[in-house]
Amino acid sequence: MSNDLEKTIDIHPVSFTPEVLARISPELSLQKHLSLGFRPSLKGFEEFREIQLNEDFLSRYGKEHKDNNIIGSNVLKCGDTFVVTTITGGIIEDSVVYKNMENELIGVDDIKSTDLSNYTSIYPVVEVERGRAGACTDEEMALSQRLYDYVLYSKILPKEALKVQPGIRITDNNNGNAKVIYPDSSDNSTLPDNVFQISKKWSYLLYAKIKVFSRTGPVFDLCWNSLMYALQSVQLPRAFVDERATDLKMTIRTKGRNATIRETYEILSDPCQQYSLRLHSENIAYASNYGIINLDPEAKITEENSDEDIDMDAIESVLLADLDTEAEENSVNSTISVISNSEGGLKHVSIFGGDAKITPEMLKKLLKLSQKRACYLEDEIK
Amino acid sequence: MNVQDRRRILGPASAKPLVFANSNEKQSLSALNNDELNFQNGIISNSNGSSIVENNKMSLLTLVYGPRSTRDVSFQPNCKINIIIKSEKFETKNLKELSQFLISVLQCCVCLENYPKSGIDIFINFNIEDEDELVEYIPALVSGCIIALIDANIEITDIIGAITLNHTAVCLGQNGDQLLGLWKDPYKFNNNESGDYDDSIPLSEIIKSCQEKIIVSKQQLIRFISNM
Repeated sequence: MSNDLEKTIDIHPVSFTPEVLARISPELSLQKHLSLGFRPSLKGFEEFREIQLNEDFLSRYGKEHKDNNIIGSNVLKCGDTFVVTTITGGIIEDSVVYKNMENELIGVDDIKSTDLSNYTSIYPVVEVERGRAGACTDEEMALSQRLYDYVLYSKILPKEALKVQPGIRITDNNNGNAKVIYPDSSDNSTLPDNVFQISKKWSYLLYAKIKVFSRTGPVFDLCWNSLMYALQSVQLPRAFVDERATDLKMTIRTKGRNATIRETYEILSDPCQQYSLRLHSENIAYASNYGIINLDPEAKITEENSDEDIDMDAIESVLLADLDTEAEENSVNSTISVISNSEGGLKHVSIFGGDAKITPEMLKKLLKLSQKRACYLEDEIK
Repeated sequence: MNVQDRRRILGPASAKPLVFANSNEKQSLSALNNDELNFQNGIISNSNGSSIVENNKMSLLTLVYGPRSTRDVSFQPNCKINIIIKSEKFETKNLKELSQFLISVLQCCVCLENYPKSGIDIFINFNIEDEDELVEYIPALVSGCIIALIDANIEITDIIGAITLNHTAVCLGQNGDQLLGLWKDPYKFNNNESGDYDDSIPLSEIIKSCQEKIIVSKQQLIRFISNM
């Protein structure tokens, strides 16, 4: 009996490989890594992932002639994650009459070019592939909405650049050959002046489909940067209507003796002629993200310095650039997202306070980092 | 009531997509038509297995998730395969039919009884789709699924393959001795509008020439798999 009591019980410490520990206790794994001076992904604190670009390979204007409807594209690979952005177009009839009336009413003839109403946005649909089917997730909805809003408020896409100047397709009665003539082309002098007087106005619309594969961390900045690259590659096709259609009128409603007559046009895109989309290039900016996390003083304790006195109350925080991996995404609560251009002009900044100690020096530093990152991202496309 | 999708930002409903007029000068791709398929595996880190199969007219990304638990309450002795194909070009109706076809083909080679109570979800993304007919994608689809399944460490009994000839895709197993499936595009089958379709060739002859070709394509696949 006494023997049993004297028996010592050995407690064996359980040890895990770093990969297993990162899964079962991401916070601990992250803190241990940070105390050693690097991150779980083996990056430095202020190190970004490298990016690889595949510019405009998928569109019909890309390196190989393709017969699809994509007018601009980009494939961006950053670490393990890659983002495929394809831009397609649409055409919408402008409600010109209404607009002119509106301007007259307010008495504004020349609205300043900085006015937000002169800019438009792209309609983005983001899909993050994570092995599930069905309705889109909150993340995808939030990403799409943010992209839409920030493109609009960055004033990148002027409405003027999306105006359609339709040409006319003329069919020669003698030989049946059709050719398209545009208002600004040189050989239209032979035509009567009124040919191009089409009372309707159209605008192009841009749609972006953004597919994210192999998501390893927050993806907003990747989506944004890919969208910026894709937008810069967009080529708009010239559009035309048929000559026969320019004076085609259709009765759409008859009421007694009164008939409403509407002109109808079918507008087609020219498969061979296109021009680059004129963006406000000074407003193009690139996104980067940051996190700030308090260092856990306990994580600093190692076998060698276990006897030393470590101040448990002093809070020390550290700035991490380009958050990646599950551990960082879940453990870092204070996040900052910046959209900046290479001159340091800011288009968007959002700061989530979280629980970390954020110092003004850190904010200054990350703004500088975003500028550097924007410089790097801008150079990639040149 | 306007029943537009309110979860996505789709833009104004009255807009029409760009319609490109028929180009007179159709550039012929046949000069650079290189049918040789290129394979890659293990590129997607948040899936169990993945593959990219491409040639100069298509790029297909296949992702395998599983075997993972299903929501079925009752006991299932065998694994269930589910395939979702995402494409911008083809109709959902045809894609669904194609995914059923692929499921039936893959069921012949995956060791379903090894994974009871579970499901294998396969997602196929058409990233470049310059071929106009679904039938042309089938050899790449089958190879893509096989590589992704192997990448996900899922046991299979046979490396199956498919060959498309005269707008007919023939899926073969056991070195060509076993016929697993035949596919013809539904709309082509009904209208027979494709120019180079020759309906005088009997099906048995198509299968025979596919059996001869399958050996070559299988060797290519095995060469890639052994280096994975």
